[in-house]
Amino acid sequence: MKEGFRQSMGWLHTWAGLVVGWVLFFVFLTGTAGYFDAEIDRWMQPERPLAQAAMPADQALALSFERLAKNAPGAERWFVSLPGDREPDLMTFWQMPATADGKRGARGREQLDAATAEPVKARETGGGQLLYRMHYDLHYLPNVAAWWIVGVCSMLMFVAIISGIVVHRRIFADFFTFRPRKGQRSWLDAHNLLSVLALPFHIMITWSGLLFFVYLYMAPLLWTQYGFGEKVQQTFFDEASGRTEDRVARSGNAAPLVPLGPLLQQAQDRMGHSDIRSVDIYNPNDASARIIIRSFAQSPSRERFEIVFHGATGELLRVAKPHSVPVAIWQTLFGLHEGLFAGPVLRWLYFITGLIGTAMIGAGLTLWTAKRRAKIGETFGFRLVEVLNLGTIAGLPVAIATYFWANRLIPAGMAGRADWEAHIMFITWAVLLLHAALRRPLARGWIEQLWLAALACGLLPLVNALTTDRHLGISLPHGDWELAGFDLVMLAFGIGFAVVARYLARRQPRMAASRNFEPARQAGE
Amino acid sequence: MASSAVQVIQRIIAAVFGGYVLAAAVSACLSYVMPMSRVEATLTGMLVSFLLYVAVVMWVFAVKSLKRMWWQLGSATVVFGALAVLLSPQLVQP
Repeated sequence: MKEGFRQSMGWLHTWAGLVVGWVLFFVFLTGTAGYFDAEIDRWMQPERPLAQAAMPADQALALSFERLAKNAPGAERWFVSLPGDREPDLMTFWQMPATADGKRGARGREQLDAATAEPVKARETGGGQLLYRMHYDLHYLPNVAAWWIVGVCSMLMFVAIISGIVVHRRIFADFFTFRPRKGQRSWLDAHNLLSVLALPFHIMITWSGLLFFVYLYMAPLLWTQYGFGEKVQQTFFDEASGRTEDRVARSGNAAPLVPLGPLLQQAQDRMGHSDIRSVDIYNPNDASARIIIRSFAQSPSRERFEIVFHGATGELLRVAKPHSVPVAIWQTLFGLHEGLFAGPVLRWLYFITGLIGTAMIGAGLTLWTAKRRAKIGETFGFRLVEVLNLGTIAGLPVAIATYFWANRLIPAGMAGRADWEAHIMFITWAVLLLHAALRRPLARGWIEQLWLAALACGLLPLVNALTTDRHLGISLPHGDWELAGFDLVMLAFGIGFAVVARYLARRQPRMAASRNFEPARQAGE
Repeated sequence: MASSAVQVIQRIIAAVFGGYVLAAAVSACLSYVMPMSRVEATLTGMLVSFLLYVAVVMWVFAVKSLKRMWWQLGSATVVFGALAVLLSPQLVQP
């Protein structure tokens, strides 16, 4: 299309990245926060105790199933997951049988304190889970619509990454190139550096992200192999997970469950080192009951050990087969995307590479404006990109910080407070986009929003100290690093934003003549 | 030689829709010939589908002649699309 192959790939890279860059920035930043979802959950519920010991697994399971028997008798499924590496709570889930007219039965879940097996009493909040879920359900949109939007954006991201690699001939040499304070050149170097630094992560996260909803995006593949109809997806998932054989119909004859203790012992003996993570009971107190005990490998393979017992007789029915090769590749891609297997060091690496990806997108968007300011600086399209850049790159971090402010400032007992935490975040974002649109010169807008980001993040530990007794003065002496880590990371972000804001403010006088903080003469290079 | 805007619009349409249909059709055909169970073959097809899609998109923008792009993309899509429908164990009942 253009003169040469690399020119046309350069065009493709630029436009594929630009048109969805802001959605991708949102997806990357909220998704990155998701790597610390459990830690954020804890910080957002300051009523929770400081780090404490959980009760033994068999006792916790016995108490949890007692609660389920009391609260959800006649359910078709009871499920209990045990607290694990980062998950602090016991979680119970129940599903009632389908109603007579074929509608899905009622379901419910409960978080139980790992030390007492009593319901967790803490403020209502979306927590880190909400931030994590936003990165693919976009919060306000219906699920399927959001998945499609994120899918289209991810596909364009994938195109931008692969065409970007093609364009970027001198990957190794350029990696050591950074020319600061050179306007457009510096942004190009920064974008290259951030892209190459974490390239395997960028490719993995984008490709695997697409695969999570591939049954939707590539539905024709499902049709050709499974035909049409409502049951198609369920059949596909059941076959992929090997669950089909455990779905047995309720017999209708009552039969008490065998005691769980000996089964747990049997399962643990076969599992060796890994701990039991969850127990599922299908058709409890029926002659066809099934008890499924699971543990997960601490590796990206998401390989799980699964052992199925007959719930009424205690007979061992089946031990799950290891994954076949295609399923193993899939599970590994999902495992790498989620990073649930990651210990503290690797988790931090995930968080940092996620931030690098976010910064890569931000630098790419900024580069687009730096390159074109001299030529088309006055057009509507250019203004739009500039405004969206400021309102998103600086505005979104402020908005996320206000989500945490709202968590501390909205009264703990207020009805609907969890919803309002999120509303505050999106209202803040909208206001900052508006500010970006109205504020001239834009360079002032950048400095103001960056200072705002510095304050919004940097002051959070202080707000926390004024409103709760889970602040650094308590979490640090207790050695509760999960809790302290949140405050310290926010403090670090605050300092980071302040440094950038100060740097830009100091450069302002030098470019007083220019409307923007990139001297125009450099943009033409 | 078409103008620049027409060039771009045609290539975007070809890449988005042609690329999707071709990638899905080739992936479906691949899933028919893989010697494995139905679910494994489907998963394998899905795994390669996005890689194919990206490759087709890049090719659509790299080819110099618009006419050649349409001709080649069109014939490949028709061939693989027909194979995907005709050989499907579900879509065409024997």
